[in-house]
Amino acid sequence: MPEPQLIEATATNSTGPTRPETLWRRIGHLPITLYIGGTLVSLFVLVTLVSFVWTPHPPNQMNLETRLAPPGTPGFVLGTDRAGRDVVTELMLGARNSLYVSVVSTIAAMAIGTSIGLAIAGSNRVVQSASTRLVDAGLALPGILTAMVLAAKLGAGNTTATLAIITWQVPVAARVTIGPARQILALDFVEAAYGYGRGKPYVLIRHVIPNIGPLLIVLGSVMFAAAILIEAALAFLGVGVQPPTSSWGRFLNETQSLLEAAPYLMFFPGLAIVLTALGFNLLGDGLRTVLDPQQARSGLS
Amino acid sequence: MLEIHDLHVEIGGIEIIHIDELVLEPGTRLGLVGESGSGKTMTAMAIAGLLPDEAKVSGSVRFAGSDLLSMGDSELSEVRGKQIGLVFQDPARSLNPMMRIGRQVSESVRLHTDLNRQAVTEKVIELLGQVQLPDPEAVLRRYPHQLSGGQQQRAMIAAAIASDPELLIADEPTTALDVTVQEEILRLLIALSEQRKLSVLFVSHDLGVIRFVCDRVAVIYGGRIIETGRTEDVISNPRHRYTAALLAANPGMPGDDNYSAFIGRRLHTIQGSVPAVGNFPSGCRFRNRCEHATDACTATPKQVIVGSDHRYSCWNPVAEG
Repeated sequence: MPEPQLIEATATNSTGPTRPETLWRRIGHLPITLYIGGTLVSLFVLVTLVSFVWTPHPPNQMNLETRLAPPGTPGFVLGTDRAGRDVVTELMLGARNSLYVSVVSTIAAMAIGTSIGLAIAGSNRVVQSASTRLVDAGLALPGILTAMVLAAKLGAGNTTATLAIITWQVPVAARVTIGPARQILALDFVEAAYGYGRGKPYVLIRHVIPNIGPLLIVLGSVMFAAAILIEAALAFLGVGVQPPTSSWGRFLNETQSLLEAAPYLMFFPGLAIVLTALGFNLLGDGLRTVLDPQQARSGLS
Repeated sequence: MLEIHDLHVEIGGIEIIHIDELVLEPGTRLGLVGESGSGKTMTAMAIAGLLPDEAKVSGSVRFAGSDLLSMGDSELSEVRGKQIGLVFQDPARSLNPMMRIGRQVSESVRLHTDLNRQAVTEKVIELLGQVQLPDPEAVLRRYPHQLSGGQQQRAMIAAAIASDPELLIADEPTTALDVTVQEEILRLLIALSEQRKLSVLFVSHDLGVIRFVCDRVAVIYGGRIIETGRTEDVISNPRHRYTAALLAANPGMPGDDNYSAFIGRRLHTIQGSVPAVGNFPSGCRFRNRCEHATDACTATPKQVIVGSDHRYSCWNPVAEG
């Protein structure tokens, strides 16, 4: 048997690239969807923030003399609606409600959904398959119908809309989390953590969550886009926020009756909804490309 | 130090492991060798208490004076986490890619001692030095992907010995590494075990590696230990037909006396493959693949002890050489 002796370790790869450098080099190579999505989302947030300090006209100022002014009328860039309210002001206020409902519901749905997903992934096989089916059943629930039931119980309003979006999105977040979390739980460092004497909650929080972080970020942005669409849909159906609070969905609904008098009017709230939802979807898509190591590698080489 | 008696592991009603006796003396290195599917990793995980929930374990695993199998969960994780270190096959999978090396190495220290941050950091730097990683202060702050495979395995070993365990379970620790790095890691394990009086349970399919590292070896097939003894005895004079077949299938390591004899020659193979769990033949579990099986082999073989400590269970053993 050879004499054991300590030998010099080879120092390979001892100076790995530092993180800022890598990021900086990558900026020129980032996917275009990330830029477009990022711009649209920033614009949306910016408009919302500005609306708190400035709008072209005071909120809900009606002026029957200037009803249905066409776009380009002095003082009213995009014209006015049926009650003579400035369209730009209406859109800015609608963005506020849209952002508010989406932020609250997405954060809540992400928190609840991923927690459920992690708990399911960490449970034993029997509980796991049973509760996964339960989540699948949750996915099959028609969201609009849930919202209607909630509205019948609680009355229409932002709370109803928020709760409806949460119940709609929680199964989505849970279902998306289960698979990747199980993959991470099968890795040896999880086994090693149990070996050190760590318990399941610690492993789920410290080992699993960081490793599915990129997925959660992408999931969050896609769910945000969905939340904006659902909020608009519910407001359109009258289940969401009530007057006098402005909302894109309700604005869109009001333009229905003006199809002959001012057919162009529906494009404004419609475009606002489309661009915002598109922005979050593109952002999510771009983030997926950047954060998925496999795609990022092929994109960089 | 570690004594296993009558260990049974059952999954889904099928007996996977049945070990009558396996003893690891303090400060020694015991090799557990067998093919894929022979149950060697299962045995190691049963000792570490890391089998899946659906596995039923019975028997006795005595470690440092207490029975691991009769302990409650919290007691077990305390003993196991502090006294048993684990090194796995693939360092790329056994280190969390999102966590800095320092944090991972210090995991068991932070869990089992109440040292302050400063003391933990010093301890980690000392450990990284002990596993001969260059520039420990810098390695501390790196992520696993910034280290080479060999360096990752050194970091993993540092993590495993961080809480000064008495037993290190190394499950094929060099299989994922290339041959030159393999030798460095093996030498490191030997040196650590001698410096620290650390017992090592070394799981491998490679008899060359086992011979390099271990004082004693246990050959496992079909979840049963079929031959055990001092490494030199078992390798130079295998008695069980399976051990002999395994040795004949091993080219050895470059530098071995008879290594050149293998060059240009076909290696011996063992016919067939390890049967699926539950499909082993009655009697000797190896008999359906054994070239020397006789009618006697349909009965369960008895253990034979030769010399001081060389045991085997074979009806038609290789003649004493």
